[in-house]
Amino acid sequence: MRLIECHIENFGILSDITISFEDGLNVFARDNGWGKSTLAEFIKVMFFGFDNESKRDSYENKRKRYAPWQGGIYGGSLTFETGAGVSYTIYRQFGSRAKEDTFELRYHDTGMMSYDFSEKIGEELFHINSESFAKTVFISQNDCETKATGEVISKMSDSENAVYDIDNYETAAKNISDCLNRMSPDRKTGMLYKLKDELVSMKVKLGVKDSIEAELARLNSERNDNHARIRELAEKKSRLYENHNLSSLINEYNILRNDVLERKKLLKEEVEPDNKTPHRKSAATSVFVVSFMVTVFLILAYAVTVMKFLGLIIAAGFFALIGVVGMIASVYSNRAQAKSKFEREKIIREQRQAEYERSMQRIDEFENKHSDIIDKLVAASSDDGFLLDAGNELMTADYEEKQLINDNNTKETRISELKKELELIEELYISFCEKEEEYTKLKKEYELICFADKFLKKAKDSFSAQYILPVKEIYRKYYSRITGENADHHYLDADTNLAVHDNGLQRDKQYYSRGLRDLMGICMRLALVDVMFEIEHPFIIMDDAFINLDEKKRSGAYELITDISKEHQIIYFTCSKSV
Amino acid sequence: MKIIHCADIHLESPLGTHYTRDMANMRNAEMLSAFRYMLDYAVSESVRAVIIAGDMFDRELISRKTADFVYNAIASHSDIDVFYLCGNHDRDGFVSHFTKLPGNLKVFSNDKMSYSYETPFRTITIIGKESESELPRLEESHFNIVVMHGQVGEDINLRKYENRGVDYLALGHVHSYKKEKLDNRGVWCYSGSLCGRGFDECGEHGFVVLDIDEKSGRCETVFEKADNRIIYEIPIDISNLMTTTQIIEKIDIVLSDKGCTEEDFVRVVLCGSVDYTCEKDIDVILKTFESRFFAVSLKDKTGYRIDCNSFANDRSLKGEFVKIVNEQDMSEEDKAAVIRYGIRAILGEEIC
Repeated sequence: MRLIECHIENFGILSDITISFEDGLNVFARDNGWGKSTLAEFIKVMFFGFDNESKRDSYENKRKRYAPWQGGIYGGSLTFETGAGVSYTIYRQFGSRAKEDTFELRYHDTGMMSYDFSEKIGEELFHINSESFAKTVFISQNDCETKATGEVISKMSDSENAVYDIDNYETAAKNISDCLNRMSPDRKTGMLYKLKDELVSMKVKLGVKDSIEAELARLNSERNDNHARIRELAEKKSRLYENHNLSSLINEYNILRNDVLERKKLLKEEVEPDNKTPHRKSAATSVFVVSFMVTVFLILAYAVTVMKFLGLIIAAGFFALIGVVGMIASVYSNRAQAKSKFEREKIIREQRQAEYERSMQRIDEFENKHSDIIDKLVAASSDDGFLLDAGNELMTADYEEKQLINDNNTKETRISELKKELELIEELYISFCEKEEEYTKLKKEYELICFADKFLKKAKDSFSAQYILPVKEIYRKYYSRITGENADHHYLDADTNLAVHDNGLQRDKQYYSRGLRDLMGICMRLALVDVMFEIEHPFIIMDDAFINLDEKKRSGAYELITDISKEHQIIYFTCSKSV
Repeated sequence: MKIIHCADIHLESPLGTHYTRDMANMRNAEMLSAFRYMLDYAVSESVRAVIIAGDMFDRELISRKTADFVYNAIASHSDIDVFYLCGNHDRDGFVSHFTKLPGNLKVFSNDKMSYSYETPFRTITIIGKESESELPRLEESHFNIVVMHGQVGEDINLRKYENRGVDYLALGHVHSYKKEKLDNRGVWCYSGSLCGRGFDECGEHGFVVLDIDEKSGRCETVFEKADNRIIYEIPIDISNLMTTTQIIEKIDIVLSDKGCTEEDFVRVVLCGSVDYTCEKDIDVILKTFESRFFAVSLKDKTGYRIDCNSFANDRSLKGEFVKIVNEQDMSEEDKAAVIRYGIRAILGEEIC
């Protein structure tokens, strides 16, 4: 396609200017400051409108930058012809915002409105966006110095000059790789690695939680068991005490009962006479009798000795007398004995009765006093197994109780220790959860950046394949046209860096003079144009592109331009007169 | 008759997250005074009883100081009965501190589950039980309050309490106020915690006052705030914003509208999808608001968005990159994020 004419009402420094364009090569020799860049921008804006609307900085915001200071219509018109031979004129006017802009498209021949394209006419015509268009179509002296590897960094701050961003790939890749390393889950210094480490050690500490809880549960249940056992023992002890009391009462009761039974039995028995007095009496009597007998014998012995026969009769009579007295005495004493025996029996019987009654009374008193447990007593006392040795049992129970209480105290201490530990763990758990969240988030970021890395490389390769190979071919063609030299030893690597093999050595472009570099750059750009614009061959605007070339190269360049201008309309700005 | 229902006081909490040492001490002191406030309120409003449905303390082992404070608080309000049901956190830790409890403190236990007030018109019965145990038979003619501590749907099956003559289920364990109908007769209610402690319990905190009309057997409930601090969790959509400054401005406006004061807990959740070129510095935003409220938390839940079509005619590495990512089988948000990283790398800006 080619430009036919443009009319600028007001745009930047330019005001009320009309410029016609010829086919092929158009040379504009203007002084610096005339407005060459402004014109270039105008042409672009006519096709694409303003972009970068979001950039708040007014320098970047081109709309503000080119707005007329002195008022007046901000805009103009541009007439062009497509490759198909149809001519259009674009009319645009700009306000302070995109909403206020106007766009009109008319057929140039008839002046009638055309709706073949919308206000996005640039994209629709060229299938390229404003940025890429600018980078391809405008070749300035600065552009020629691209593709030097070492200089990429200086381009970073001004992204618009970076041709197709491809220069930036290396730095971008390096930045990403640095970032990934910083975050790395594999390197020890990586954030993800460190976080994972922390998480693992926290997890270990938390792992103790289960065992602590298990121990606590165990201790609790043992303590509860102990409590239950202590309660059992307490009950048992009180029963034992009861038994103990009970058994002494039972003993007492039994004694009383036995007493009653015995007394009753005794009542019914024969009373055995009391032989105490006769014994006593008989002892005295025997002594008396013996001594009397001895005395009598002595007297009789005397009598017999002295009085012989008379003495015998006296003796016999004396003995008979004694016999009779003795008989009378014994009868009398038997009678007395029988009487006192009767009386004694009576006394004894009465005694026995009284004692029986007393024993009954005692048992009654006892039963009244212990009326509440009398049934138990009755039952227990007939139960042989009851009267246990309460004393020993009590001691055993006491001992066991003390053991259990001690055990529980130890357990309580341990339980409170464990509970404190558990509290700390619970706090740790909260930190752990937060850290885990952090980790997951960072991991996701890391993964996405890895994707970015992967796809960036893929994009670079794809981009290179699409453009660089064809560019290389065309580049060589142009180069040899300009210089007359063979460009076979020029290589374009995958990162679009030009390298030259000189006498078997690979030399970087920087090795060569600036002029030569410019030349190579121009050829590149021209080659790029050819490749980028497959459908609609655009015009090319060159802004003193050859200024740094030496005589020889310059004439070659002009030849090239002349050649190219057969296919492309070229608008060549220069401020030097010698063209 | 008026009765207060409260729960989950969690006195003596360790308060680790979001709190500094000083803040934690202050907050614990505030919680103690809120407890006292509730008892004072009871006295001034002629409330007969206060029911504490569990977790009065945050743990079983409490300090002597706290136990004494609570003991004295209860003992000095001797005209009010305090009914106490142990929760899952405190068990019998408090009770075991003292050989003798204040006379007006009634502890629910397996042996003593039920207490009653005889009024001329109606008997009011208060039953406190463990969530697992069976509900004893209730007198239909009484006004029946059942106190439990647990999670509705898990330890507490509401079905078991329907149509059993329950007028009011006084529940504890959930830290936010909630009241729902139980059956034709009664309601169930979580009074919520007396004071909020963290961002997982948003809203207002306090206790519930039941006003029981003894004649009719009906009761009105009113929620009373006991905590001066309110806990906010506010989602803010920042989809159309591009810079940190803009975001800060918006947050400012939203918080002012909500009426957040410097006493409050504020959590801001940023949400929405921002343009992939948006600059948001979370640290700066947090720092800006940190000193303005009692406790501040900021969560970033935003995603990125990008219009891949706008790159359709971008004949550059950038354009190629966007095209390739767009073709991938990933979520839109993920794609936007990947593109963001890639473009920032190309443009030489900090990637993350």
